Amino acid sequence: MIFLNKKGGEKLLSIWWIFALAVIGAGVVLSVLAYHSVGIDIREVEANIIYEKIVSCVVKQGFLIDELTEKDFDVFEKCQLNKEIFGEGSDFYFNIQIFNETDYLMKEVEGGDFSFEKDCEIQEGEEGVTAKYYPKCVREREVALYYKDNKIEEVTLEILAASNQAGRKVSVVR
Amino acid sequence: MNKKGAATDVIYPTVIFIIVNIIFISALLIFVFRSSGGVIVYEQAYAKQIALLIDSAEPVMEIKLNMKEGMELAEENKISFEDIVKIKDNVVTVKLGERGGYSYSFISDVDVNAYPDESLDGNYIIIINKPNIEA
Repeated sequence: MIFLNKKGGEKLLSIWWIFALAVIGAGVVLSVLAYHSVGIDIREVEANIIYEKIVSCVVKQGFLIDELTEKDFDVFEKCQLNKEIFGEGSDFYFNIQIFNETDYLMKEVEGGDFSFEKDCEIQEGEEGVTAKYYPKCVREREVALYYKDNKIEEVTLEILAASNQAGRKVSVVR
Repeated sequence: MNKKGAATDVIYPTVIFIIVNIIFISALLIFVFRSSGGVIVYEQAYAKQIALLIDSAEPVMEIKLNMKEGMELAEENKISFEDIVKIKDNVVTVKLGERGGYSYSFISDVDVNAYPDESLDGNYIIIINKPNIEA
């Protein structure tokens, strides 16, 4: 057994105290750094913006625009979406499906990273899978009217919009 | 040892102990406050806010954004206010410190110009135009 006199006890206590301070300091610093490294997640807001941009350009006053059913319809030009941003390796995805009254798929238009569709389905599934690096998705159905052979028909638009943009710290600003 | 010597033996370690603790707690608090209101947080917040504003806007539109906190941080780091926001090729980059900046993309196919508002200190004006139309 080691017996310490008063001075020895104080020295031992001060070593433990420095150790305690170091542990507390490291804990606070790591917590703050971890908190700030998470970032501000606006992917869901972005997915909503994509959805709203698409709806507002393909449906005008409750009617589906005529161009949408044309073969050479360019959704990027019509909805003022940047084609390059939705190109290869994109952080975004959208899918527009138009169903008639009998639920027949009349037309499908999509853009961006196609793999997001599966990721969104997995998250929407019964298991409710969530993953940090999965895209944030918005799937909405809209009812619109459509002229066909001088008759007004009802169509349903199913729009899926997804974003997985993380943003980045850059070392050089030009 | 006399009584005076014994008293100083007790007081000095206690005083040093208290001073060390105060310095330690102060350093931690300064670190936490500087981190929470720091360049990294504001750069990210402004870049994302501007990208969302552009995506939500319709051409032709003018947006005025209050960036007073950003301006103060930039002044501390000797960054000119007109160099804070750069928008090029659908990417918004905000720089408030000496170490680079933060970039975020917007999806709209629009021409965007951003410059400081000369009539109101700390404000930035963002002009959104249709593509290929000069502001």
